[in-house]
Amino acid sequence: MVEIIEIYIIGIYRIRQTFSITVVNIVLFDSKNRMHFKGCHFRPELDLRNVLHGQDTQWEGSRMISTICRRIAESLGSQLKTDDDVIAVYAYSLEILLGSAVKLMLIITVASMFHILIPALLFLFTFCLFRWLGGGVHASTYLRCMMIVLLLTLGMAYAATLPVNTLQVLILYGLSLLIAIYVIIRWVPAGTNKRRINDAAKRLRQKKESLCALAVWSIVVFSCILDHHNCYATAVILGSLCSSFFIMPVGYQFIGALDSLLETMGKGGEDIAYKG
Amino acid sequence: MLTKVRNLVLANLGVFLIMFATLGLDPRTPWGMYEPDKPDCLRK
Repeated sequence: MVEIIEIYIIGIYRIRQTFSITVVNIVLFDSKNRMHFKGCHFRPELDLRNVLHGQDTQWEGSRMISTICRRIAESLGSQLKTDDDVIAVYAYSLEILLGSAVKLMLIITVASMFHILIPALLFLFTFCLFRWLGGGVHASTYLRCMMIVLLLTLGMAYAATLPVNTLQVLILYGLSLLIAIYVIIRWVPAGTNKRRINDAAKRLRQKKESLCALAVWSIVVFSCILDHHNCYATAVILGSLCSSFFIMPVGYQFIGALDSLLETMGKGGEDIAYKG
Repeated sequence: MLTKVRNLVLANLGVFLIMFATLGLDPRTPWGMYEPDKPDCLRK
């Protein structure tokens, strides 16, 4: 039996999972400040008052792509009369495809606005290649991932456009090569909670593939330097450096700390305030 | 006729999505740092 201490009848416009617009919702708060929702939505972990004040919009944004993909998959599944397992596979596929497409389009658009499209794409390609082969840490939500990748790509692409001479590029190349070799030998393939590779043969294969990619990367860097495109060479080198960083334990700590910080900010700092 | 074409397109889309999910491609999105939850049936 829940003791209800607060009742809110609110009229807010929010996009729901069914894409309909909710006009009026009835929200009840019990003595433990848990929310009980009268309607089509029930989320006891969320304090809706934060949503009303714009402090907890993270939840909606982070699951937006998943929700859209799930809806499309369900629609497709009903047309093709498939079962739930197949619908889950559709949603999974769509989430990868749509999520990637949205992210790439956003990066291309913003990078074009800042006139750093080519360094941004070179950075992104190198970064993704090494992460694809070597693994590494992942953000916990799509929105955070998008923001981190966008800021990282733009920042590094801008850094690549700064004037540097060939000697500086070569020093940076040597440094990143040594770091990459150490990271590949020591940590590749770096797993996550959702995906770990424990098979020794597979681990060795991925290490070899990463080393091959590193050899190709070296050729690309030297081609850019010989063509006097120090900017492009720097972008490619920074891509390798960043991917190495996110494969290392310090990269996991960094993303973990960032996740915790954003989580706390999403709750309006309530956890810290209560502990204090 | 249009319904047939639409069904054909949808069926092909479905096959493509299943192929994409089961090809053994890495579940991580290639461009970033987020991985969607893999469905149970694919894990098995």
